Amino acid sequence: MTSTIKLPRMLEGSVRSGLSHGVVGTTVQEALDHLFQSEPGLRGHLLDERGAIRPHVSIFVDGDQANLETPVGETAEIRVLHAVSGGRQRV
Amino acid sequence: MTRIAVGTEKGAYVLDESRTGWDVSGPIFPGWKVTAFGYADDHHLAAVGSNWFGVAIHRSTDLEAWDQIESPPAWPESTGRKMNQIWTLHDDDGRIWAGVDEAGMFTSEDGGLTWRPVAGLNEHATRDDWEPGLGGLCAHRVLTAGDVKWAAISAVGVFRSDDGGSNWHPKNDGVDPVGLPDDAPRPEVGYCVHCVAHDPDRPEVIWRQDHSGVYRTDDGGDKWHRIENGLPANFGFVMWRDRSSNRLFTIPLEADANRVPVDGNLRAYASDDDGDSWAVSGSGWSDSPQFTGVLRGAFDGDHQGAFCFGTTGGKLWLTLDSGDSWSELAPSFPRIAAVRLIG
Repeated sequence: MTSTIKLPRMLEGSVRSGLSHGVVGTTVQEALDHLFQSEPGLRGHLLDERGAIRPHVSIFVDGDQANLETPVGETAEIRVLHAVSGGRQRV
Repeated sequence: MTRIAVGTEKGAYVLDESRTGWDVSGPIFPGWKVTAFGYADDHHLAAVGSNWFGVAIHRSTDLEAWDQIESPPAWPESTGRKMNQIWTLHDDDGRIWAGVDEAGMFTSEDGGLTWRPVAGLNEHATRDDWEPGLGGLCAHRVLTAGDVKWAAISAVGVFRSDDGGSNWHPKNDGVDPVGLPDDAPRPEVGYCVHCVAHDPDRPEVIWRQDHSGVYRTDDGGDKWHRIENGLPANFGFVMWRDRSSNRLFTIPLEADANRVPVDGNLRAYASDDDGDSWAVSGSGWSDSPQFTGVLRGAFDGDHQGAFCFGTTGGKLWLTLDSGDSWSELAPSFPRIAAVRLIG
């Protein structure tokens, strides 16, 4: 069984084989590492220099916001979205 | 027929001159900011960036089908630096120099497929004193002549290497720093260079559009002096030397606090005496006010009389006769960040 990672359309030019990928892994981190084996160009688009999820990228597992440690079920759907962010922090 | 690649805030476009005007292809890289073009190893290169997804470099042989390279320039985690933008891709006889933000340079000897950092510049002894300007902390322009290399870093200054890029030295004597009183000691770095250009036939003569004015050096950067006679303002981001005519171009903007042409008169200014005097370049300019700017990467020339620049308002201006006559091209684009004349 594999879970599925779905990528936003903006990354269409960064992938070799489409925006939907079957991946194996028990956490988001493992699923992404599997994805990067076939799509190495995505690593820098999803993770920053320290290996963390980029500040304005959001990842959801079956509809719930996730982090790299979030468990991934065998048939989970992992969605990568670019966040809506901005404005000024109230001080 | 003239062909122009345009990098904008939202994608790239390719313009091909036709009998009836300009055919426009694109957008290429939709949604991405296209920040620089280059050419090496029989491939066109395009640097792109996104607030969400970082930077990338794509290669193409025909400007239509593009492949993203797997490993663009990247700062090692140990540096704590972020790769915010690729500002320039300079072809140095097959070797490429990439200037980036956070400031530094990377080089590739395989057409852009792999990159290594230029340690002598990136880890320079003055690094702790590098501070970003309004446009960030970016290495945005590279000049090369054999073993001699120059790098321009915004809000830091010009550096020169005399040994092929191993060791670098600040070269800003005579340039006024920004934000310091006139009688303050001159720092080693902290000079806000906006653009540099030289004539490949006389590479030691370099013209500089700086935040603080327009300068020339006749000795490779050892000493700079102002050349502003005839300019309506000494601020801007463009400097270009057309090799075929020995004509120099800049595009003045009013001031750092108001980065538009003086009175809305968008004009290239030209000099036929190495910058000692300037005048409006040729004819063809609009009589209507053009309150728009020109960014430091948004121009290119072919050294055979063609020179093209794009504006923050998304328009392109082109001369094919070394600035004797100018025309505004009909198509409009998003804010233009990069221009490349395709030979």
